[in-house]
Amino acid sequence: MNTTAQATKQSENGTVTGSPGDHPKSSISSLLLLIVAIFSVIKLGDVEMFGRGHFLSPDSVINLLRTTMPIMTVSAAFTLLMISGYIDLSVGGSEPERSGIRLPGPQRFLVSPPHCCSRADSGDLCWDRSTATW
Amino acid sequence: MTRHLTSLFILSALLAGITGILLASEFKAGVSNRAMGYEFDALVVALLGGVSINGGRGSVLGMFVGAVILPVVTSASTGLLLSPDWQFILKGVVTFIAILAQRFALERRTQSERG
Repeated sequence: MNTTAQATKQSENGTVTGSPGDHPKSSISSLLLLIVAIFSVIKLGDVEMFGRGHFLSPDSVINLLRTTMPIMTVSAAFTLLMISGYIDLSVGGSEPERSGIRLPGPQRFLVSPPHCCSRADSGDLCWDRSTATW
Repeated sequence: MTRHLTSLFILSALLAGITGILLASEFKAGVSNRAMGYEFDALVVALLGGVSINGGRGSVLGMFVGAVILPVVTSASTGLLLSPDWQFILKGVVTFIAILAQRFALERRTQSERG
């Protein structure tokens, strides 16, 4: 018997359940490849393939992955919850507040304070590490 | 069951916190409304990844592929110098087509498994 069919069962209310691996990922992968292919050739006359300014240039791809990472992180647990039949709408709105790292100052710098400016006369705020004040 | 669900919600909160650190490190500042609307983005990304809205179906791997689509469209349309209005329209159209394609594939798969 097919392993996919073994892993799939039909509940009483008609909802088909199965293992995470047996769901159709091919359609979304095909669509992604199609989109990438279209956008790759659309300006091929103006810019070099994989060159600077091209959609698939290394800088562009790295920037793209960097942009994707936060939403990917949130969506990972969101997906598991949705598979379980629940939705957690509390994930948005105040992510920085959740990290729990707070420092005093006009703005709460969660990871690291900005570079200490050496030009106090420029009017920029300076962070004093010794007293932890601005 | 309750234990697993509780674990999932805790995991969701943990990953939301990690996302908060990522977003804060992007600007080196904590902006309280930075992730406003992320829950709906996460919902769209999960749907793009083939997760059934009723639950019971889907995978995190599919979600990773789905999550790349929106930034790809945004990045490409910015490169094409499209106006922000057209970018929104393009993203909406692509999302709509992707979800339709996923629904179609899911229904076809379900029918083949039942038959």
